[in-house]
Amino acid sequence: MEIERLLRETLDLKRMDGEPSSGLDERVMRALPDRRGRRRTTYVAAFLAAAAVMALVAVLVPWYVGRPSAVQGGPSASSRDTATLTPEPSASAVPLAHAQKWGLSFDYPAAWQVSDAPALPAVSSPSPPPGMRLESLYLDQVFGYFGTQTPQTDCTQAATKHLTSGGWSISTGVCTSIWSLHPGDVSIRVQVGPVTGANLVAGQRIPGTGETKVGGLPALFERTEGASVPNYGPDIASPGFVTAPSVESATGADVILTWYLPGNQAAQPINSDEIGPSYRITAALRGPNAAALEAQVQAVIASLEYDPAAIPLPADPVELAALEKTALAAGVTWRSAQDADNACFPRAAGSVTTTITVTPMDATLGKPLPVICTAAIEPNAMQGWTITLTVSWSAAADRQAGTWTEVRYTTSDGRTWGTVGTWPLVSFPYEVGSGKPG
Amino acid sequence: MSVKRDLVTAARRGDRDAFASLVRYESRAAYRLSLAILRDPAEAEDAVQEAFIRAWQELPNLRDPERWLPWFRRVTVNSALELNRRRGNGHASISLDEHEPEAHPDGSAGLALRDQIERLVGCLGPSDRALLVLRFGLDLELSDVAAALGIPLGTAKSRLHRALARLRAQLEATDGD
Repeated sequence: MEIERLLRETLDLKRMDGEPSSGLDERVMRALPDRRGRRRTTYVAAFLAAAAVMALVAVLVPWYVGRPSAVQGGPSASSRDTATLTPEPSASAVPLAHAQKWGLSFDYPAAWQVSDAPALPAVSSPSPPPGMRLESLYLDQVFGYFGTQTPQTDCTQAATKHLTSGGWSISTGVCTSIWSLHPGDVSIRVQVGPVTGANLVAGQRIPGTGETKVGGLPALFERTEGASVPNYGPDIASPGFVTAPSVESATGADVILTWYLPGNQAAQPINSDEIGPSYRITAALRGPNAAALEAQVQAVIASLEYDPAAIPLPADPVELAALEKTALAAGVTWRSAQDADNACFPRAAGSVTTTITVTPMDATLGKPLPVICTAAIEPNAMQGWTITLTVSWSAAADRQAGTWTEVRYTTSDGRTWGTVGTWPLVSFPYEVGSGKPG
Repeated sequence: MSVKRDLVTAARRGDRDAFASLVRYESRAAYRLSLAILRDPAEAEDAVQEAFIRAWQELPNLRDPERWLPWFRRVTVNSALELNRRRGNGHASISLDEHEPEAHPDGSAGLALRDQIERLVGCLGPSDRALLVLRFGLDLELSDVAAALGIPLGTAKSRLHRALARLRAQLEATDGD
């Protein structure tokens, strides 16, 4: 130990001589590069350059193909030279602006407008029921628009009525837009969407959409031709969605692009009941040069990040394993905190054989039940974890075998943002009041 | 940690002022750590600058602001070691077995011993020196040392064991002289 004591005395950094020069902090700050802007701007500029090239191709190809000389035998050198002299947008001539709005941040062509939707209509007296926010009385709330023109927002007014029985009658409002696109217009609407992270992790999709990634998180995308804005509805039979008849037409549009974003659940405050928005982004565009406009819109969406940005799980296996351990312990702690008498789940991945007298849902059992409690964890596409807690029991003379499962979705550090329970509900044997021992 | 955690959170979102505060908080400790590894003040400052630039760029990947300190420590150690490699200083490593310690001029046994230790540590390669500085200079657990160096715990253990054995042998040889 002597050598270790000597090393501690000799190498103690707190007692070490030597100070950095006084200008080091300033030198560091001067040398600091632009972290986000440079990467995103480069990325978007590349896309917009591609868009400009597509615009050039979109104009030149019909012109080229349509010329009699082309049909008959190809253009002469001079005709090609003439064509390249035609004034067209240049790749480097698309100035960008940056927006940080609605919980999102993105780059867009500076010539476009960005505007907030008008405030939601107030509900007629009496005001919303206690504890209910105005936003929750409106479906498809619109946050705002950006593009070459701004549609009007049209929300049917929500109504609430205080019943003499003490309850409330609520008629929700629905928001749509009044679109009117002229040639060359593009208009993008940002509003509350229906698809959550739990939907995506569980593999639930809106029919007609494909999987993509926006802002570092999974998302759904759909491209339709024509002016009808795609619609969806809840699947009554099982969790998920079905397509529904379109109720909205983006007048003049040739193409509609729709993205469904789950929102960045990890950005929600710890222990907050307030759920951040999921998004539906609808881009309506009208030619000529629809392909170029579409490429521009795709470039804008490619630049989009959540605000605050989604943080990926660490790539380093050691860090990932440490985080996994923390997240599982936090998830199990959360479940145990809901029911202090039932703490059967192990804090590390694995199983425990034990006996319980209270279920994880806090129901008391008439007599002890031997069970195996299992905790499992795996990373998911929302850059967080899927934690699966299972209680299983074997058959006996007075009971049937069964399994209770709860799936929790957590942030990377283990904060729960979504839960999926066993469906249909599972009753434990000997549940007091359940009326079904076995 | 809460003030620092808030600064880390803000800096992660791109707040340069918050990051400037972090620089003010950490630059002295980062400098001393780099100096202990590199043993050259100018190179230590360069390493600190590189560490902060890297931290600024990689900060969005740090999920938990509470883990800022071990994370930044690792960034600092890596910057120092990389700087040393880039500048071709790796050859400064000398085998302890070949080093001939000298008696301290004032005859003070304790001081002489510490001087001797310092000289022997200075003769180590930068990565072994980093290991000893983290373990004994910062009094970190070996698992934290391994994390800071980005090496498996077993590797950290065996390297530490080897370095200590050689230092002990060298000191015993000196005592015997």
